[in-house]
Amino acid sequence: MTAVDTQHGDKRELLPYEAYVPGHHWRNAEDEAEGAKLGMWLFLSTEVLLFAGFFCAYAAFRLMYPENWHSASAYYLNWKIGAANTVVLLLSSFTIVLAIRAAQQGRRGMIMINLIITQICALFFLVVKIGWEYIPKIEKGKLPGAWFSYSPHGGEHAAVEAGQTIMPAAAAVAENGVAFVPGAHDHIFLSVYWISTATHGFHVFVGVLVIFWAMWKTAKFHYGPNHYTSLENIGLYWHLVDVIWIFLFPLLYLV
Amino acid sequence: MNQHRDNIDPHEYLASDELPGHEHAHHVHVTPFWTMFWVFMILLFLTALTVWSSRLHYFSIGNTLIEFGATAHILMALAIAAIKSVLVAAYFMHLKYDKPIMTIVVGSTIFGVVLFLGLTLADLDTRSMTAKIEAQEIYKGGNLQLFAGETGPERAVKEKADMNVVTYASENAAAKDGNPDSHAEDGSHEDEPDSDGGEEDHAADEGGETH
Amino acid sequence: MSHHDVPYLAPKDNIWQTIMSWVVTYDHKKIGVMYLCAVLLMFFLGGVFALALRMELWEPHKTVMVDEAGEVVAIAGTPEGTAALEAGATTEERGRFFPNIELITGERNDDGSFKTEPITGNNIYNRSFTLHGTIMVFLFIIPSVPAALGNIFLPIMLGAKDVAFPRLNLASWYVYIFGGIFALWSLLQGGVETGWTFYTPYSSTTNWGDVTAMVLAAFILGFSSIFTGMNFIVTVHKLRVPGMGWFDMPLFVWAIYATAIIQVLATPVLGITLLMIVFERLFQIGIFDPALGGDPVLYQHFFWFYSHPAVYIMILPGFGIVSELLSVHCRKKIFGYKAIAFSSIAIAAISFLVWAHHMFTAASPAANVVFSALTFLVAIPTAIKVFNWVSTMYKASIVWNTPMLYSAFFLFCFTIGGLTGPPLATLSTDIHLHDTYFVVAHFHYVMMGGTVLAFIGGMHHWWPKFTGKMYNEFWASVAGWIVFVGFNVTFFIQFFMGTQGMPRRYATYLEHFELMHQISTFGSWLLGIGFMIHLLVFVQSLVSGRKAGANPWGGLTLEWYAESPPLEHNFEHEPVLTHGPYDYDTVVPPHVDPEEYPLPDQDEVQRVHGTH
Repeated sequence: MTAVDTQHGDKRELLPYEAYVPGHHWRNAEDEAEGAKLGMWLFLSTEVLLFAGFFCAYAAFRLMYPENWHSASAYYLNWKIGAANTVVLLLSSFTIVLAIRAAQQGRRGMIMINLIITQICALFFLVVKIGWEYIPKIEKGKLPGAWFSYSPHGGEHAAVEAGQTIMPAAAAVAENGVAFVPGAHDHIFLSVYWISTATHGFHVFVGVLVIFWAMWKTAKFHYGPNHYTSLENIGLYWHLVDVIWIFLFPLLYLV
Repeated sequence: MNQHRDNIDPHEYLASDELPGHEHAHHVHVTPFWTMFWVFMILLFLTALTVWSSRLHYFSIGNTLIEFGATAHILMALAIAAIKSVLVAAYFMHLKYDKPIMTIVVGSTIFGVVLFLGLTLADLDTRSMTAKIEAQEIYKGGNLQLFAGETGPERAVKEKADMNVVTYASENAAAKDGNPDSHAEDGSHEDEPDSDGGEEDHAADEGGETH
Repeated sequence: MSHHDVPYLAPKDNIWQTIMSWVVTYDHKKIGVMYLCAVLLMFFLGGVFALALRMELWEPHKTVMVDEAGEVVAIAGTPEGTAALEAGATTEERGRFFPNIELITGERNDDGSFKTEPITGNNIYNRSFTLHGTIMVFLFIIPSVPAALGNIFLPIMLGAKDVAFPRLNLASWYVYIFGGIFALWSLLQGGVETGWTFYTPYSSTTNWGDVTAMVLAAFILGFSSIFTGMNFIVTVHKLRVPGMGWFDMPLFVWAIYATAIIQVLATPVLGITLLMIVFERLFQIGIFDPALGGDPVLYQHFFWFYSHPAVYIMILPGFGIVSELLSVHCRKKIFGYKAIAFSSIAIAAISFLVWAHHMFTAASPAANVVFSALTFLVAIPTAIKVFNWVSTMYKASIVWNTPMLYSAFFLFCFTIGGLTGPPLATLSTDIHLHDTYFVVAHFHYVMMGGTVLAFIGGMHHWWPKFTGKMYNEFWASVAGWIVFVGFNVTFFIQFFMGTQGMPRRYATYLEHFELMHQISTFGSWLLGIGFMIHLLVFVQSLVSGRKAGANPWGGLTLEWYAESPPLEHNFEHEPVLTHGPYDYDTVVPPHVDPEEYPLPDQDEVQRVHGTH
């Protein structure tokens, strides 16, 4: 890693990003960076298609139970929490863009500051998600599928007594084939809500881990004008998490 | 090889950086700050807009009263989300400044998603077109014959009525998207404070469904 | 520099270093070889289940899958079976024939021990066909060509030193092994009865065996497939040797590229589908379970959105291999290069449009009309390929060695498999043929008669290159003929069974199918013998095979410029591309020993093609 900085004639160690050499099978660093970015985009397209499964389930059940779906959406979720999280994610997307910009300009302190803001936003998102959404929902029995035990009359055990909220629906299906009772499919709505937001939340969590990694690399002088590939790819990933939320928020919380 | 050079690559952008001995000047496109800032501001504005539009049921221009039903709400929400995503992808994710191949990847992905959702829903949405024929075969002499000619949720609602299941107005109305009659009920739902709090209203619904 | 100039197979200083040089290697060739070993092992395992299935179907009675006492279960279709059923024999009663074999179910007794149920021969049959399908699809055929042969040869054919992301490549192998362990775990837990399609609600509610482990296995294997696909796309885009444009790429690369597109775009949907089954089993979320208000047909859409394109993940690499093999062993420029290249991409695109033809009996009739019409589109690019291959063989100087033999077998079988597709794409006939042996025969003609035959042809074609040893041509050809005859005896008769109404996945059948089933079972023995001879030929070649030259077949693509076996970094110097991949009429192939591989008479070539 030692080298002579000929420009100024004095000896110093090259910083890791200055000393970076591309993998042996790449012709140059730029090709490698572009290849990595293309690979990242391909990965992102797999992510989009993965989430497309949730959106497809959402659309299918909305088509099947439209009246129920609408009331469930308005009734079980608090749009204010969703909106707050949207703003937070948008802000974090913006700051990670600024982090990349700082890397391009070689301003290490700015990379760090922006990454820290991004990280705070990501953690805020998770805390709100778990503390203000998941835990109250679990306590009230607003759970997916067969675990759904929510009763408007309060008590956590009220509905479990006879499986009241689900059984009429199941009976109606079994006996008549098509007829559904209003509100009978709230648990399906909650299933879609839980699996899609939990998967998204998992992606946010992974984002938190990789942003920590990016912070570590920033601290160790791995990002500079010549080399910031992994920071850029983390940025792409983080924006994708944002884009998924941009769709999840109105579909689940608003309409 | 040189004689083939003209047709080696339908995508010129691919060939351009892969010709032998082609050296790139190292130029990094530094992200412009103010562009990104304004994109961020627009995104925040659109977030506010999507919340506002989802709670909007009437809109009047002069004497013209425009009404928004459930379908209109979904379309508005999706349109705004799509605009936001395009902004994020084009500016934050740098697609606007990157090579076209990245955009092609995104395009193929959207192609896949559209096919997946579009064709699946095309199937699910057309089931009721033939359901009445099948239903008559399955439920011989059953009450389903009453509803021949009607499809989808509307038929389901009538069936419920026929089975003496208590239904209530909002369900009947909301069953048909875009039916002007439904807005009052939609509105009443929308105006409920939240969700995790307002439980009384739903209690009535629950009563309806469990008996 | 120096240590990269040794062949990649060369052992290191000591055994420990040699082992480590494999298990932590980033070398695409070593990873490819490790993949090859793994998929061949899985092919063997899947084959054992296939032979067991055919053996069971030797007679309508229980044949092999019986209890320890060997008692025969009474089944419908036989006089005594009909009598027993009319007398009201239930599953439980039939279970008493098998007192000694018990099945652990997922449920527990009050004292905490697992509940057991008697296992019947039919259960064993169900598990066998499920394992046969799951292993062959997810563990063998999907990774077979791309991850094994593709890994070894795609970078070399592009003149690259490695794939774009070597670490991801190694990770993909480990993920594959990890997924394989899950599948094996499921097998040891008692297997799965759902069929490889895991249809809900059976897969989400049944307690037989360990469906969760098997579904997770397929989920994990999906990641391995995605990694490979991403790697290949970036490699093709960024690592072609200078001067190699898109239309200078070998057609094998085109095919793998098209495959990779499908792998990347379709596999995630399988991932989410299988994850939902796991959620369904663990949390009863009810998305696919009608008892909870879910929709099982939605599952079928999800599943086939991946699994139909996956059919092309399986067959497209086979197309690529055959394009290579035909051109090299016919020593003739491939006919219609661009048509073959673009038809691969077209197949990849169309593959996303047609999935619901697997569910004509489940989906809405209105949508079926659309899907049926779209399905016929696939025939166009596929037929373009077949016509081009046949045209390539026209007036060519064909050398009938094993790879060429397999290419011809491929053309024969794949054409039959392809032409039996339209009856299944047609709504009215499909209602009759759905879930019969006609379908079984159709997809075996495409998958086995297509991909597997191409894979074995490709194995022989590239065997000298990646092992550095020649194989015994005579015995390989003999084995090839036995496989070909065995394959057709096994599966051709199944078309007739299907049209006569023999349903698939049944452990028993009406008596008048007995002769046909026995012919089919006899064919499966031939197949087994053929593959065993192939295995012996390969082992003999590894142990005492003649050393292979750098270019035993006179090929023109870049891998034939490398040593046999290639060096660690593939080429001594980055190769310079001076000709197209199939310019046999103008270029003398490199490293060719005329004794070993007689070159075409240039005078004759000029007389036929005119002067150049």
